[in-house]
Order: sequence, then C-alpha cells, then structure tokens
Amino acid sequence: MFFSDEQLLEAVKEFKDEALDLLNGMEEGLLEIREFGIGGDRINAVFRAAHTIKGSGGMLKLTHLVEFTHIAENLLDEIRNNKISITDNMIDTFFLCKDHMQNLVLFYAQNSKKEPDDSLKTMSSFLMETLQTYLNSSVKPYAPKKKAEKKQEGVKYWQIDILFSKDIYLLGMDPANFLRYLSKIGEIIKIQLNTERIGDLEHLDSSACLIECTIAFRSDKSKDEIVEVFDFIEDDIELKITTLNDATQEYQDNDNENQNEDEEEEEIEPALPTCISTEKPLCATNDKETSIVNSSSLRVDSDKIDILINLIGEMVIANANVVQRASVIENSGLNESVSAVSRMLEEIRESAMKIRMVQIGETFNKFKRIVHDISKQLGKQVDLTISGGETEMDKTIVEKISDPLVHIIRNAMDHGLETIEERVAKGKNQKGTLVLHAYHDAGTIAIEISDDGKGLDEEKIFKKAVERGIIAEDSKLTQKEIFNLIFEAGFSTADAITSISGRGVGMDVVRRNIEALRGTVDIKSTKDKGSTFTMRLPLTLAIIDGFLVKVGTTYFVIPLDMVIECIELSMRYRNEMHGNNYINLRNSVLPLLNVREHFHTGGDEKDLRENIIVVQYAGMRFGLIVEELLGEFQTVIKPLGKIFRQIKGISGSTILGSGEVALILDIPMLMNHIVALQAQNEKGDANEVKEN
Amino acid sequence: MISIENDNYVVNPPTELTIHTIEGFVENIKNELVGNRDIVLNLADISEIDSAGFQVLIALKNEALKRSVSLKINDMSPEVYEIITLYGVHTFIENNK
Repeated sequence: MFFSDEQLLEAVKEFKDEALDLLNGMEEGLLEIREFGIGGDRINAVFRAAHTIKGSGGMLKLTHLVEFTHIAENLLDEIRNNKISITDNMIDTFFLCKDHMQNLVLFYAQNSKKEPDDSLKTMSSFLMETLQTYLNSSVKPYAPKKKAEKKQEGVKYWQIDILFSKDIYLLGMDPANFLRYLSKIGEIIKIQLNTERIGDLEHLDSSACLIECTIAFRSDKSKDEIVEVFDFIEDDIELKITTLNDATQEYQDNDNENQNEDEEEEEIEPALPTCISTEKPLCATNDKETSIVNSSSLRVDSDKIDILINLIGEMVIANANVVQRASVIENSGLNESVSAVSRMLEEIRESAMKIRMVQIGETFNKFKRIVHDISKQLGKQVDLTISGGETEMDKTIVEKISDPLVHIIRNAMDHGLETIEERVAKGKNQKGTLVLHAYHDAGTIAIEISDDGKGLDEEKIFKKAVERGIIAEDSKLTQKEIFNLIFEAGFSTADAITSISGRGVGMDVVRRNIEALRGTVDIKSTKDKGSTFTMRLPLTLAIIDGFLVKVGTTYFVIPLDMVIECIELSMRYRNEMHGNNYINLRNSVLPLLNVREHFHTGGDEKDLRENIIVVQYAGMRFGLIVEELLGEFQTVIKPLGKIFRQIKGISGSTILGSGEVALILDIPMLMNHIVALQAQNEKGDANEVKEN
Repeated sequence: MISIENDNYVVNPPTELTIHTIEGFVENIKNELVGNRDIVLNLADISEIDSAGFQVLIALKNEALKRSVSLKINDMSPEVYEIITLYGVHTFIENNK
C-alpha cells in the first residue's frame, strides 16, 4: 500500500475532485469534437484528461479504473495519431466511458479499498469490448502494422537512478511503495542500493530518507509512463531514466550504447528523442500539459467557507449591538471607530461572500451534453444557445438549481419542441432552438429557458387538470394560473410517457426546490411560438443588505436590492386612494400592500406618518405601506423555526443590535399575493358587468 | 528490547518498525550497543516495516561492519523478507563475512 488507510481515503477524495474536473473537461472536449472535429487541441485535451486520470488512479491503486481508462486512452491515442478516424458512434461511446469513469471515481471516493461492484464491472466489460472493437476493426492508414505491433509489444530495458529527498518520510511517503508499483508495470531485474549513503548507526538520522538506488528495469512501458510512477513526489526526487540496449548488457555500463539507443528510440517511440543521455533529472522536464484545469485557483473545502461566513454573520450581529450601544453613549470618537469597524466588516463580508460565488456557466455547460443525449434519443434536432454564463451566484444555489434546470430542459425538449416532421409542416426551421440565458435583475438572478416549440396548450392543460381533480370544471382561471397548473403534484399532459419526462413527477418538485431557495418560477408561452420558463433566485442565502422598517412594534427587513424608492404616504395620496389599495405614482398605477393589516402586527396605531416603500421584482413594482423607516441594515439571514415556516410572506428572520428579532419580507411571495388579489378583483368586476 | 545473551547483543525491535516508531528504538540501540559484541537480530515478530525501518537495519549492518562484528538475523517475518528483497540487499544483510 502507498498510504495508510486515512491517507489513502484523503488522497482518493482529492483525486475525486481533480478527476471530476478532468471528466467535465473531457465531456466539453467531446462535444466540441462532435461539432468542430478533432482539430486544434481538442483531441489532445480529451486524451490528456484520460491520461491524467489513469496516471493518478494508478498512484492510488484504483486498478479497475486504471484498466478501464487505459483502453479508452489507447483508442484516443490512436485517434490523435490519425491512425483511427473518429465517428459519431465512437463519440457516443466516449460519452458513456466518461460517465462510467465518473461513476467509478465516485465509487472509489466512497470505498477507497473495495473493488467496484458487479454492475460497474459489467458496464466496464461492455464498454471495454466496444472500445476494443474500434481498436481492432478500424483502418489505420498512417501506421504500418509491423511498427504498431512493435510499439505495443516492444519490451525495453531501462536503467533508473533514483535519489529520494531526505524529507520524503515527513511527507508521509515511503519509497518502497514506488518500487513496488514499479514492479507492477514491469520487472525489476536488479536493484542496487547505495548502502553507504545510509551510513552506520552512530550517524543515522532516523527521520531522514537516505534511500538512493539504481534499478535495471524491463518493461513495455514508455519513459513517460515510468516517470508517471513518481509523479506524486516529482519535487522530492532526483530521477534519471536511460535505456539499456540489451537484456544481457550489464546495466551499469551504458556509455557506448546511447548512440544506438537514440536510433532505436527514434524508430519505436518518436516522442522520446534525445533526452536519454541528458544529465538533468527527468522530472524537471516532465511536461505539465497533463492538466486541463486552470491551476491558478485554490481548492478549498466548502465547509471551511461556510464556517467563515457563519462567523462573519455572527460578527455582523455582534457589531450591530456595538453600534447600538455606541449610539447611546454619544461619544464622537467612539462612534467614528465603530463606523470604521462597520465599514471594514462590510468589506470582509462582501469578500467572503464572493468566495462562494461561482459562474453559472459551469452548470450550463453540463446541459450541452444533456441536450445532445436527449435530442439523439428523441430524434429531434436542437440548437442550444447559452448566454450569460459568466453571471455569478452562490455555489449552494447553483448546486441546488441544477436538477430543476435539467427537468425544465428535458420537458422543453420532450414536450415543447416538435418533431422534425411537425416543424417542417409548420414551416419552422427543422432544427429547434433552446436558449439558456442568465442575468442579474434587482438583487436576484434570473435564468430563462426558452424554446421555439409548440408552446403550452391552455385548453389541454385545463382539461387535464379537471380530469386529475386538481381544479373544478367550472373554474375560471387566468392564462398564468392555467400555466401554473403544470407545477401541481401529479400533473402530466404527455400523451405518451417517455423515459425522458411525462411521468408527472417533477414539475411540482421543480417548483418546490426553487421555492425552497426563496426563488420563483414563471412561465410565458405563446401557441406555436414557444415557451419561456424564468427562474428567479436570490444571489445568496446567507447575508444580504437589507432595509429596516418598523410597523407597530415589529421590525421588518426588505432586501435592499429590491427597494426602488421610499415616498411618504401623504394626505394627497390618501385622498386619491378612495379606500382602494393603489395610488397613482407619476402616472402609473402602484398597487399597495399595508404591512400592518397583512401581518396583523401589534402595537398602537399611533398617529405616525406612514411611508410607502416601492419594491420591484420580476419586472413588476408594488408599494409596501410601513411606518418608521430605519435605513440600511446588514442582514444575516436566519431561517424561521418550524412553527413559523408556514407563514406566507416572511422568508426568514434576523437579529438586530438590540437583540430584537426582525422579520425578512418575502417580496416574491407578497408580489404573487398582490397579483392574485388583482386577478380576483378583475374577475369580480367582470362578473358584475355580466350580471348588469 | 536489547539484552546480552552468550556474549551477543540480542536485539528485539518493536513489532512495528516504521517512521512512527523507530526514533525510540534507534536511540535505544545507539545507547545500548556500545561494546564489540556480535549482534543477533530477531526479526520474526515484525509485522510492519517501511523504508525508514529498513534503513535502521542497513545502519545496523553498517555498524557491525565498522566494528568488525557479525550481524546475525534470527529468522525474519514475511514483511521484513519482502522489503529486504525489494531493495535487493538480501545477500548484503545476511552475509557475515
């Protein structure tokens, strides 16, 4: 074993992150190859990803993964050397291989020491057979058969000089393990240990590694593959690998052979030219191209960032308390210091929150593959356009919206986009369009998924909802309400249940998941023109800038990004209202919600001046009638306890400097409430007109 | 850990002879093996040995050579046999000439 159990598990976990990145890169590369061919560096990037996974997997003795990846790598190698031409079927097989490698990596991350279970092994065998078929049957135009065979079967003799760094034990490494691994990829014919370097007992430093040896080695592996054995400790080793001409040759004596060897090398392994005689340690020149991941970033456990953000949250609360107390003392020096600390704290908070921010593009790219797979499955042609991939949002949210997004995309492709024949009959381009678009909007992130398919069929949805008992037959619903029926549990309009969607499980879960993130989902659809699903999500789940107000004795916080302006509810406005819940604000109607009435807040209704806070969400505006305006406030979002979770219109709570609790208003929910009220009123009016 | 029997030093290393355990053992043998007696090494009970532990065996051998005394291995566990073979020093360590 290379490592202790704990070290191994840790190493495999690290490997998992690296491997998943590489596999994502591999998938992107394959998609590009499918679209633009193997040119540029595309095939090399895919090859390198497989190669690195194999190498790192080998170091961790993930034998099954290594064996499997080896075959895929062989085929990729043949392709990049133009010996085999890549086909669509081959790309599909590589997609499956990528998925399978991912499953193997995830399996090992859970069970570092176990062998994969039977289902994984069966999949491996199936894919290995398929890959082997490509390897065996394809035309190899540029490679004379004899030469290729020589490369495959050519066993070479190597001299390996190794000097381990003295610190290597302190790194938790054992040189013996590298030698053991070496003996797995070839045969150690002879090993000569420099015992003098270890010295006698009197001078022994027990913590320093004093191992230096020369190995005569026989293997069919290339020099690069031998170097890879020592990849893990490349900075802590001096390594020199030279070829030996003949098995019978004494391995120490190689001076005269190098010239001949160079020629031999040229023939067998063009990639290894004259560096054989170089004195420079190989690792120093070992190419670093193996990683397609940008190494300028630092991988940090997200738990550590969560702890940091939680602590900053606590600090913000504690600081609010300091600010409160300082304001009572009324000492200008103290106030100045307190506000300086507050400013810095705000900057720290913003910086910490930025750490969690990731570009949504990474998630979007994942959908290219999904769209590719599904379009193939459905026999539809789909053009996927992605924009706004650079938009950043909290990592937790990105992770949680992935599934709902997949579901919406699947539905759009399955039910939204028509078949090629249908599209041609309608005079549409036979290739359907699917657009993923992300953008920032008033402190939220909006993600639009649009298709140019047949659009939602209002009649069909209504009928189905009645059949399913979701609504009564005589229900009168607006178009928006009808569309929203597809989010009801157990709803499905698919005439045929497919493996992709149409089981009626999902859209309700989609809405639930989005709402759990304090987000909303909205549908716009036009018959035969297409549909647009818009998800709106908060930028972050932890700390926000809020606007603090007071109604009666209760404090409320409104997310500052949604606040447009504050105006006084003057007598003029009151007179204009005539008991209605809207005002005329600069010639546009502004619906109002009286917070005191809506939440039945306590406290005396003193003769306080009332104010209107104009908020905007999803392109709509409305006003909240509140009493005292207390200004901006850094708000650490705390979830509401179980009992209060059912309260509509409150998304969480926060603690004020005084220790009192303020409730965070759920603007999207309140907006929905207002829209529903308006719809009711309109219906009421319409009925009245009818009766008259 | 170290005793004198029949005018030989008899050394019984810890059963785990690794970087985590050798420091004390090395200190011990440095202090105890002071005379010019032959050394008998019992390696039968070693259940775990790494390169750091292996180095100590080589250092003991070098020490014996320096002192012109013999180092006799009294049986060895499969783990010790494996690492000695891996480093190709089977002959070196067992040769008492």
